[in-house]
Amino acid sequence: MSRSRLLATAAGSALAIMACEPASITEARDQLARGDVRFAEYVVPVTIDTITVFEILEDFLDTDPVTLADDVLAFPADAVLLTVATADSLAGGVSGELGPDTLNFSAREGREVTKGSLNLGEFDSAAQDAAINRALVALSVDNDADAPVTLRNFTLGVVRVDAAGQALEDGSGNLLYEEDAGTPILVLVADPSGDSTWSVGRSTAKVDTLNAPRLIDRLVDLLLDDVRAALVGEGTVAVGDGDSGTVAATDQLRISVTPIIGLDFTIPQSGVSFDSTTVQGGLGWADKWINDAGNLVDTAIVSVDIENGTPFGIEVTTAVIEGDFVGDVFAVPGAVLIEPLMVGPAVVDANGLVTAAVTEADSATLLGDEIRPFLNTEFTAAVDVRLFPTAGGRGALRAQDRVVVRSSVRLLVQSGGMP
Amino acid sequence: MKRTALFFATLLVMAGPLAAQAVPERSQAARLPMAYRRPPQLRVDPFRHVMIPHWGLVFSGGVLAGNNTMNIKDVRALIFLADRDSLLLSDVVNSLGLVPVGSGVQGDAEGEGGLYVGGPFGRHVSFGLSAQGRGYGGFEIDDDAVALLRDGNAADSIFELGASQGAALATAEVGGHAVIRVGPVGTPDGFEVTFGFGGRYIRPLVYVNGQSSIADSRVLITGDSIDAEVDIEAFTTYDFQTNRGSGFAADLMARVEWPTSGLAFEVLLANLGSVTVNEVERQSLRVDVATTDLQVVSDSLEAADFLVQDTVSVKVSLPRILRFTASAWANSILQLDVSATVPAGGDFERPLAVGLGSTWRFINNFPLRAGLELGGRHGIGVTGGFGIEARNFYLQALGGSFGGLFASANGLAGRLELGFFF
Repeated sequence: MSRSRLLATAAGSALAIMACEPASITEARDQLARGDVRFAEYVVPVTIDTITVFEILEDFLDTDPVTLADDVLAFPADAVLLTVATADSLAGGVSGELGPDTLNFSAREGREVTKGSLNLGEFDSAAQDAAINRALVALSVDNDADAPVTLRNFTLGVVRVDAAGQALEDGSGNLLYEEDAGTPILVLVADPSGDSTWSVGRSTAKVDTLNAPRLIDRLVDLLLDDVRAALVGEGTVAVGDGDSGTVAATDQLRISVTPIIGLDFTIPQSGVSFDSTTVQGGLGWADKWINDAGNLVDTAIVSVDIENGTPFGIEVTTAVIEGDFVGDVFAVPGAVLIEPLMVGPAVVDANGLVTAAVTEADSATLLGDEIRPFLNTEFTAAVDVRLFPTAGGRGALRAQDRVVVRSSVRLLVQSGGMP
Repeated sequence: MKRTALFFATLLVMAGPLAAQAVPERSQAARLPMAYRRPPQLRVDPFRHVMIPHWGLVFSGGVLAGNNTMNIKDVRALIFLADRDSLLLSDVVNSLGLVPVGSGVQGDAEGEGGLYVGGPFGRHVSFGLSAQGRGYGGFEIDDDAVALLRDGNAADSIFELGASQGAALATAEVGGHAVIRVGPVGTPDGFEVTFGFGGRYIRPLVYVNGQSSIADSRVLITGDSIDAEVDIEAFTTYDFQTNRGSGFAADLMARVEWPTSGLAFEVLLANLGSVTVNEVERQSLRVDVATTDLQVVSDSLEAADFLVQDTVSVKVSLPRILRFTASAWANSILQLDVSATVPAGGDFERPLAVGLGSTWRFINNFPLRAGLELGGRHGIGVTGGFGIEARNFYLQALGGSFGGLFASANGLAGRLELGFFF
C-alpha cells in the first residue's frame, strides 16, 4: 500500500469515527453540494484557425484542385479518351510524300461520361444548381504516325445517349448536340492562328487547353440530373504536310479530353447546398463522466467569429449523434440539431474575385445533455452547408481565399443548491 | 540596563513574606497553584509544563487543524466517493463552490507530542527539560487562482497564483525552560511577576514547500486564446531523517498577577528562531504556453512535470507566536480568560485568533472548561474540556470544534496532558 494511500485510509478512518460516513453516494454528493446555488461561466477557446479554400475543397472533393488564371481554383474530371484515327480510317496505311490532301477523312468519336468521373465529391449538388463561369478542356493528343496530323473544324460537344449508349442523332444522321437558345454548344479545337485548324507533329504528343464553360456546365448539369451524355469530337483529320512520311495501319490518333471545372460559379440568390457526413473523435470520456457533465452543464454556447474571405456566404447547419451512425442524421430522433451558423459573403469584383473580406459573428446554444455526443469516444456529424452569393451572384474561389474561424464554447455550469 | 537589573533585584528582595497574608482565603490564588490558574491552550505553549507545582513527568500531545472551506462531513464525503471510484466532475465543482469568495482556500495545522521532566526549585524558580516532536503545516490557494475554477473566466480573464503556496515541517526537539517568580511586589496585595525563558534545539525531520517561483505566475484565458505562464518550485525531503540539519528556537514569557484582585496578564513570545534543512531536493514545474488551440494547452499540461533541479539547504523560520492573555477570577468558582494569538512572522504563519475561555471549579480540583474561539481560518468555534488536579498526578483534556459543531466543523483541536508528580 502506498504511503499516500495509507495516509488517506488513516485520515478516512479517523474521519469516520468523528463523522458519520455517508449512507450512500447520493448523500455524499448532496453533502458536497450544500453550498449556495452558483453559476460559473467558462469561456473556452476551441480554435482560431485560418482555413484556405484549398483546404476546404480537399475535404469535399474527390481530387486535388488545380489553378486557373487569376488563381481561380478548379478540379479536373476524369479524362475521356477519343481515338479519332484508327486502322480503318487510315485505309491500311500509306507512305511516301504525304501532301495535305493525301489522307483526309472525317472523324466522329464519342465516349459516354459518367457522373462519378466528374470527381465533384460532396460538391455535386452545389455545382448542379450553379452556373459554371469558368471551365476548360485539357487536350492531350498522341499521334503515332510518322506524319503530322491536322484537325480541321474539329469540335467538341455534348450529346445525350440512348439506353444502348449510342449518341442521339437526327433522321439525317447528324448528332443532336446540346444547345443554348437553338445553337449547339460546340468548342472548336483550333490553334490561335484563326484558321480553325489544330496540328500535331509526327510521332509526337501535344497538349492544349480550351475554354469551354458552357460545354462543361451543360455536361455537369446533365450528369447530375442523371441524364446520360457523351463527350463527342467531330471534324476532319488531315495527315501529311508534303514531306515524306509513313502511316502504319496500326497507328492511332488519340485525343484525351479532360474537363476542368473552375470554381467560378454564378449561384442563385437562394443559394446552393451540399452536405457531408463524417465520423469524428470526441473527448472519449467514460459514461459516468458524460452523464455527470450533462447534469452539470446548464448551457453551452458555441460562438463562432468568422472572417470570410470567400466570395460566398456560408450557412452551416449541423446535426450530431453519438457513435458511428450510417444514415440521415438530421432525421434521427435524439440527434442534436445545432442552430445554423451563418456568415455573409466577402465583397467581390465583376469577375467574382474577392476584394475585401467580411467579419461576422454568430452562435448556437446547446442545452445540458446536448453536449453528450462531443464527450463520447466518437460522434457522427452531418453538416449541411449552404453557399449563397453576393448581389451579382458570381463568385470565383481562389487558392488564397480563406476563412478565419475563431470559435469558443461558453459553458454555464451550476453548482451547489442542495439543502 | 542597570536600572532594569536593579528593578528585578528589588522584586526578588521584596518577594515572599507578604504574599500569604494578602490573598483572601477563598480566592483562587489561594486555593490553586499558578500552574492551574494559568489556562491551558489548544495552541503551542512552551511554558505550559514548567509551571507545574511539583517535580514530575508530563506526557502531553495536541493537535489543531482547520481550513476555511470544507467541514469534516465534506471531507468524509469526498473520501467516500473516491473510495468507490465515484468522484465526478460535478463533485469537484460543488466542492469548489464551498470556497468563500475573496478568501481562496486556506488551511493549516500544528501538532506536538512529547514529554517533560522538571519541577520547582523553591518558590521562585522552576526548571524543566522537554523532548518532543512538532509539526507545522499550512497552505493557501489564492482566491484569484481558485476563481478560475470556481467562477469561470467570463467576467475576469486573468488568474494569478498570487500567494498560493503550501508548506509543512516536522521537527524533533529537546529543550529547557525556566521560570522565575517574584512578588508580591510593594504591598501585601501587590502583584506577582513571572518571567519565563527557554530554548529548544531542533532537528528537522521532514520538510516540503511549494510555491510560485516567479512573481506573476498566471493564466490568461480569453475567448480566443490561452496564455499561461506558471512556474512552480517545490522543495521536498522525501523521508524522515534526524540528521539533515538543525536549528534553535527561543521562548520568552512574562506574566503579572494580582492575586488578591484576581487578575493576571501575560505576554508570550515563542518560536523565535529558525531551522536549517539540508539535502532538500528542489524541483520545478513550468508551463509556458500561448496558443489559440485548446489541444496545445492539453498537450502542454500532459507534458508538464516536476523536474529535479538540484539539492539545496533551506532555512525555515519557525512560526513566531505572540500571545497576549488576560485572566480574571470572578469568584471562587469561575475564572475567565481571554487570549489573542497574533501573527508575528515566520513561515506557517497563522491568522489572528482570539480565545474566550471560562473555567468552572464547582469542585476545586475538577475544573470544567468552556469557551469560544474566534478568528483563525475557521470562524467561530467552541472549546471545552475538563481536568483532574490531584496531589500525585494531573490530567487535562481540551477539545475544540471550529466553524461548526463536530462533523460540521471546519477545524478541530484537541490536547491531552497527563502528569505524574514524584
